[in-house]
Amino acid sequence: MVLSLLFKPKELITVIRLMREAKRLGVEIDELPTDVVASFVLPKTHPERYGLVPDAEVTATSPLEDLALAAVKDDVRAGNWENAADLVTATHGDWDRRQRVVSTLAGLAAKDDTWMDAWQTARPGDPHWIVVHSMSLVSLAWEIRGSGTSSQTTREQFDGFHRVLFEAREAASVAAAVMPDDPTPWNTMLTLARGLQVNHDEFRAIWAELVERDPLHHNGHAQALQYWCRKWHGSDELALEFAAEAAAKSPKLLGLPLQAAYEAEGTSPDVWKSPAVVSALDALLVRLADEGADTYSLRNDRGYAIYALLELQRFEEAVGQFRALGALADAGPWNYYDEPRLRFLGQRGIAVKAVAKGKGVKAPVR
Amino acid sequence: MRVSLRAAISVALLVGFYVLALGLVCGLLALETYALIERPFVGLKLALFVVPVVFALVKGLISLERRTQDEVPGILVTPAEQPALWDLVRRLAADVGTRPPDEIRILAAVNAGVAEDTRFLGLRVLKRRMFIGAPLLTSLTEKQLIAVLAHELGHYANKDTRLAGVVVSGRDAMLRAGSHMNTEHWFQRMIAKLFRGYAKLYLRVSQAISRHQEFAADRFAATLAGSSAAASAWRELPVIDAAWNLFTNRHLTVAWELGYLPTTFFDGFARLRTSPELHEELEEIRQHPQTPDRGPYDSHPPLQDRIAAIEALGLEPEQGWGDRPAQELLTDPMPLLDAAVLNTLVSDAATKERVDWATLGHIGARAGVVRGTERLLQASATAMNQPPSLTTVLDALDAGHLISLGTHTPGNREAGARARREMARGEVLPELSALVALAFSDAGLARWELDWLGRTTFVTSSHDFDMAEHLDAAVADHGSTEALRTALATAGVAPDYRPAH
Repeated sequence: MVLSLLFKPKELITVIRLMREAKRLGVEIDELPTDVVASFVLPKTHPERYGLVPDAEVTATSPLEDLALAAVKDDVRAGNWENAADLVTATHGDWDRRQRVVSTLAGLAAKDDTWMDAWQTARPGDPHWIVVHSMSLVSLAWEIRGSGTSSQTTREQFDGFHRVLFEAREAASVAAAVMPDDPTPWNTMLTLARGLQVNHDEFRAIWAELVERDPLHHNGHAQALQYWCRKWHGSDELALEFAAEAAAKSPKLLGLPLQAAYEAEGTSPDVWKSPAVVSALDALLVRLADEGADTYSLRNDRGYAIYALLELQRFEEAVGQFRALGALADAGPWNYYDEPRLRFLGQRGIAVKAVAKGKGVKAPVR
Repeated sequence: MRVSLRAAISVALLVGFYVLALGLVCGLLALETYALIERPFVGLKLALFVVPVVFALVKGLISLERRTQDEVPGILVTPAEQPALWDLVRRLAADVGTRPPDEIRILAAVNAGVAEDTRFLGLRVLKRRMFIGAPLLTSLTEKQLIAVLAHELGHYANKDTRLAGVVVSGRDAMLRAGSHMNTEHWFQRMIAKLFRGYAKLYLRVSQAISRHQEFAADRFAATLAGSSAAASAWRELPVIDAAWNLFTNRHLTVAWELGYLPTTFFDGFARLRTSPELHEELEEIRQHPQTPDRGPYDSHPPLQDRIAAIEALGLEPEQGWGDRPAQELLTDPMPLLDAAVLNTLVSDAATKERVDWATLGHIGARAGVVRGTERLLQASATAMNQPPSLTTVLDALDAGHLISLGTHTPGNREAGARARREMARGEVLPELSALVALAFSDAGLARWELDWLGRTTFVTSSHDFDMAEHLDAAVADHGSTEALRTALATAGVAPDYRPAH
């Protein structure tokens, strides 16, 4: 690493500056605060000249989107389960929101399930309880597994992961039986299919059950795309095919081909130039023109659109999307990284610099 | 190169070895003597170098002459004890055209061989011994055994390769070269290196002779036993080897550490070889014989080449040999064969308690299970501040100590109590299950059975002992150990039960 730096004078200078800064602050170079590193590493640009928010204002923290959900999270942390249970019950029919509520509460339950016990004791046989419970087992399985590579994961962690995923599948089947209209338990099964290495035919059967209940289930499509990715149980081709089919169903799902391309770019470098991806991008840009960035899912679509635009050297349009995103670096693809904010600022700097130098493809007049 | 020429070179190298070493010793001594007489002071200084070198050289030469083990392995059988075996060996030796061995010894190894006690790197023979592996006697037919023994005697056949016998003994001696050297000492280390280098040269030159000899010895085997019996014997050897390894590792010594041996050995080996669960695996080895790894200086050609060569000869057996089990050549075989096994086990084998095979398997399996419960017993004792026992474990679970009974951590460092509890459950349940199984077994209601593949199964005398649900309940969240405690009490397990070692 050190040797390769010798051939990159700019990086070398940055590293030397960082070392000097670390010495001045009396810490190791690895321990420098992120903001300090950012101020040395990020491209020096003038975002305000392009109508962008200053670097310092950018944040990876999501604003409150679902106030009711935020409130019941606090209730649950305080040990009160009633409002959470009522909220889950109330979301029946609004499937995308129900999915968000259930998975948020399931995440909390995977850490501590005392409030779930209280809920079950007070309302035995509540079908909504088992919906949350089954999803919480999936979250619990991943807590046990952790996010390490397989060589970093112990045999006991793998055993626990599989054991709990099997329990989750059983619980999800019960939930599906007691809530026959609800796509949420089926989405839980799609989610755990990756960990249990469910085969293609079995996965398609689960998928059919989900889309029968909600043809455009947002998270369901995201989960299925992951399953069809090369890193799980599919391939670049299968993932792109799945995403293109979904995008054709509804403008709501136009972001999927870009996510599929993002997953595939490591093994298929030309993927961004493929007609299916470019046409999905253009259609998505048209759709986004009338929408802001108020929801996480809109920001997610814009984030992937930006990534695609940068890959296609369409810097001016990328800056336009950054303008629409404003200060929020909370969604994909930034959230793939340990430091989403830095990733966001880095990409934004590249876009702004390129525009300043007049590089790339100009934005079409719409 | 012709074999006889190679053999001549090999012998020359053997002799040269002595010449080299002795020449060096004499030269150095002469130099030293000369120096002492002419210039005593220089001579004294020189002695500091000469004495250790001469010492090392002489030590090296002695190492060639000395046997690595003073005690000859195996059980000696006299012609009076085993007349049929001796008659056979004598007849084979006569047919092959070499002199019969002076001794026959039975070994507990899948091997047979003729070895000679030699001096001067095999140039002079003191005693010829034949070793026969006991597993071969119980597993081969008479004809197959004849093929094996004829092959070994064939190595010493006195035909056109007069010198080849010397070459074989020389190989053994050469492999010993320098084995008595003290490698801590750099002088001796250097001399040892010198000897080994020479030995390598010798082994390489003699390699072709050895390979030729293997084929020649195989020809004797095929001539006397017939091609089909010889080929089938060669196919059978890896099968016996695999079965013997499994037998000694998984069965014979399964409870060795605990102080147990089976009452009899070879009845077990016979049952293992013919057990249905092993049939497929052994047949696979029989059909695709693999050449065993005998180290870098092995002289044998690949087994499959040898089998092909034997079959190509298409020889009929000599008249009069039978297809009966080779074991029938022996008078009262079982005590002799078992004694051969006991002879190879270390000396405290005699102090072991002898039990039947079923008991032995149970004892061996049980010990493994006991070890698997120690951690849980100790963790519970610590958590409850009580002596370790089954009841202490159950009390700890009822007191909600599940998390502290486990040691495994979840993958996510920020995981909550629920994930840690789940990890502990995964760790504790199999250990508790083992502890309960031990309790039932020690109460005489269940036992472990070891099949011949080495797999253990837990066998209960009644279906009432299916504890799965009770065990799950004992470690479940909001679970209870009550049902389990009741079942244990019904079975007559003492509350303070703790498995004995």
